[in-house]
Amino acid sequence: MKKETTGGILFLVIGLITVILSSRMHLGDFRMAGTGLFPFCLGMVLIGLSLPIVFRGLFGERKEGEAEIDAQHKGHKKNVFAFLLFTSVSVLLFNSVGFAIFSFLILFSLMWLLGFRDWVRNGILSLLVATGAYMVFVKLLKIPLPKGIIGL
Amino acid sequence: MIESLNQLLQGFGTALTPNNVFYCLMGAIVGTLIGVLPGLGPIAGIALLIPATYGLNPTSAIIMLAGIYYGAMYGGSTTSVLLNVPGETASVITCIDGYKMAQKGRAGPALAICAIGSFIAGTIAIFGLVFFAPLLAEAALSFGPPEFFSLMVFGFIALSNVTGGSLTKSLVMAILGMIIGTIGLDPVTGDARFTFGSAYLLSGIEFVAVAIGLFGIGEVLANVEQRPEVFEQKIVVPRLRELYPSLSDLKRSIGAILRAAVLGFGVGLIPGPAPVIATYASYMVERKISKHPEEFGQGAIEGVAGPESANNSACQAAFIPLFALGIPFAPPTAILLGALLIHGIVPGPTMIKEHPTFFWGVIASMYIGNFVLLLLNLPFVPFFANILRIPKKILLPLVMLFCITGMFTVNNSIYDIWIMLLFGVLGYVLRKLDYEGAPLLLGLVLGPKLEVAFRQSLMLSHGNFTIFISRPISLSFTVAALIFLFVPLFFRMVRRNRAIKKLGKEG
Repeated sequence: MKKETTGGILFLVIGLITVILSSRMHLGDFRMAGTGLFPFCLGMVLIGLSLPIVFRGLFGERKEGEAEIDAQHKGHKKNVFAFLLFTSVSVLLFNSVGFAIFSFLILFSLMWLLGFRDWVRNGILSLLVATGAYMVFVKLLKIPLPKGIIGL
Repeated sequence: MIESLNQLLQGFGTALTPNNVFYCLMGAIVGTLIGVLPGLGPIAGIALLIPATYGLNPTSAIIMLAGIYYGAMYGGSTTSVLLNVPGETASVITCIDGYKMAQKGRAGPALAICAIGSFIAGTIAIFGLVFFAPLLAEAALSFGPPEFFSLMVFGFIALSNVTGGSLTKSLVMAILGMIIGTIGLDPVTGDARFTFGSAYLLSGIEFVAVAIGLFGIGEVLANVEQRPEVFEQKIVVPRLRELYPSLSDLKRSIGAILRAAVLGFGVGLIPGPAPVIATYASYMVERKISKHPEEFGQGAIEGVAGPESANNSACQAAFIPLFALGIPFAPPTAILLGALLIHGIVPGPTMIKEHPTFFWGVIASMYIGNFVLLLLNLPFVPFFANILRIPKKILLPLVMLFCITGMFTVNNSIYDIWIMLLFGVLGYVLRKLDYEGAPLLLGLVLGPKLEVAFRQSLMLSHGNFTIFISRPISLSFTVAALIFLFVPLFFRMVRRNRAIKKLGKEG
């Protein structure tokens, strides 16, 4: 599916959902607008703006060179998913392990994922940066961050 | 005018306190560092550092964030000249002659003229800000809800028109931002909207989470998608030979700097990515009036001095509509508006009277910031350029750690981090689909204000929509909005017809 169509459909769906949800609220009239009127209008405008995008995507001609550009843009999506997965796991552990361990974990795992595969050097660098971040945020700026299991 | 100067002097009293000088210095340094890093422009920089300002008073916080804004604009020139890599979009034009000068061993004069030009033009623009912002604010005191509604609609359409991409797509993003802005409590009745029973959503979606997500995390994810070889690349920073420009360089540049200062200031008042437009306009003007137009593109110093000066002048001018009307006409000022609101300052016609210490303190700090940047940029350029040696495989995880920590500090809430990550994914997807994130942010910030103005106007007129065209100021904004909406469409149709006719003749 073309980028144009995908984007148009995405916003069309968001517009429809907004209209449906806001129509369940009190709409009132333009003299005394209810809670749902403004989002209802926004949803309608969004539908109105997305429809031409969808039509252009479905029936419009593909621009010259667009296929090549798309091919160039095909990158390493797996990396993005893995990056988000590692980040999400670290965030899930944030409260329980505390900021110090969290920062070490996230740095070590993400640097490893991006190709820093030397375990020792990666470990040392992550430890140094995590210590620096801890000193700056917790000790210097006195920001209350989760202490976690080690109580740091 | 005398009153403005008096208040400016008092502003220096505020800006020159050790604390504020420190935050101004920090903002300028951090902004320069951010400007040097390709990809991380002023928008991402300000968004990332808003949480770091929570412990500060509003004046210090905005002094620091404004410093980041114009510091990033300064820093962007360094990589343009040294490596032909623009640190942010407004520095693209500087690459043309700046990099050529660097190749000829004249990187020093090119960078120095960037700093000197930015300083002179920035200072001239701040003078304009001192006199124009209070005048505009005074005029805006007569604005009622219909005027503000029409002004905001004009702002949306004008900004959507000049963000570079498709007008429809930009408007879609602005509407999406406004829809996100409706999550939480209804600003008029106090009823819950789109909260699905969640207490967390009652206070709405955290602006900082959206800003960091869309720009910071979105940028990181887009970089992560690149091929692994990119992460290993090491950039060799060229050595700087003679740092200072010669007398002849200065003579050739001074006219370009002064012209660019005025041009940049004028363009900065117009909605849109003013610095980008100002740099292009300045380059065109300088090439047109130059006695040696053939040198442009081959390392003409005017081709560096003009655009860089225009860039900074436009940045400072963009503060006028932000402070005087409370309407940001450019994406970085939209983020600054969010930061101002977070710190309890509501910019608009009454802000200068209600918060004079804040307003004049921030203006005075801009003079100091410009001076600090001049001092920073001349001797520390080689140091800033060295930042580029940090490989992306180390830099990206560091940015991620900083985003998460910064986001957590806002409300000590893990939910905010999840919202930020969600908007990071959205920012990444939107990039892939060629949608700009800036109009969404503007919609999110201005959406609630627009809704209140819209509902109040219709209450005043008993539901009659002619209120938006029956009052002169509101009518002029409506007409301006329609011009911005339909004139580009008209020109597009004319171009298409010409192309069809041309094809017909050839066929």
